[in-house]
Amino acid sequence: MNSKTAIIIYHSKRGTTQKYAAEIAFYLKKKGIESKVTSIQKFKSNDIATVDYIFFGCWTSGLFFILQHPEKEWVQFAKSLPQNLTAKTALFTTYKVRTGSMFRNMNKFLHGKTSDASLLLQSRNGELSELNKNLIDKFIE
Amino acid sequence: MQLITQQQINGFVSGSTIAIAGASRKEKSFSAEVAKHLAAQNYKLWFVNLNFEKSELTDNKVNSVSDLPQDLKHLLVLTPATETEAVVNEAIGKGINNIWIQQHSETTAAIELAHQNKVNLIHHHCIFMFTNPTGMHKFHRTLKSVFGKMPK
Repeated sequence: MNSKTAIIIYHSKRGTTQKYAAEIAFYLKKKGIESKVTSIQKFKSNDIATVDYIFFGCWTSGLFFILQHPEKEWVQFAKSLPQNLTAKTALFTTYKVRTGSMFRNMNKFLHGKTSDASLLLQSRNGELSELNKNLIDKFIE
Repeated sequence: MQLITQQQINGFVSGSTIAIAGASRKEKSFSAEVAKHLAAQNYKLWFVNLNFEKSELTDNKVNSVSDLPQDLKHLLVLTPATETEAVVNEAIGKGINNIWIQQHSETTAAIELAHQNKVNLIHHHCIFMFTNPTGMHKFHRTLKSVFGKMPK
């Protein structure tokens, strides 16, 4: 049986989202899922053609308490994606105070590209919490 | 998370030569700040950066950990988190047995790899705190001490 595959695509400002991406990939590998990590800058559209899971990540931009949104470069990346990707989709973000409207906005920019994300992961410091791990377990069941 | 002891830290900072993986060329980068500080503490330094051009490769600048001298046993890792595991793996292959992964560069994968190979590993700590800090770093160290966050 072929093993499942995942790609984790991140946009990081100071390295925290990048670290979070690495932690997600390592956890998936432990679960037997072949995982690749790439930044949006290095992403190639071939990378997502055949994967089973796509994790999209971006740091939370906004005014701390309100108007959280993905950064402009990530939005451009989302717009450049091909339509109707069939892989199961997850979103992840790192934040300082709260994620607020971050996931809603990420989903908005991915509309038509992927189905609505069925897993939302968030972390302040890029570490993968036990709750995160439980959510990933359910996502890949 | 496994607690880091003062003895482990002493084992690292007692070295006289340290290689810095993820050494940036930019003078205002964090790694340049670290290098300047360690040089001021009389450490002999080596710099590892995959992107060094051939012309930049001088006595103490190399492209990879495997190019470091055989007797070098202390590595400070300042790489982006996605590169840390590979650097630690290379260091272990080279026989480097004292590795400090600067806070924010550490990943579970790199930490587990180092533990499996019985390396003296320090992680989730800032090297400034343990090498005669000055200025803001000294203030951070004081705060850590006050709140009982320093290794014992």
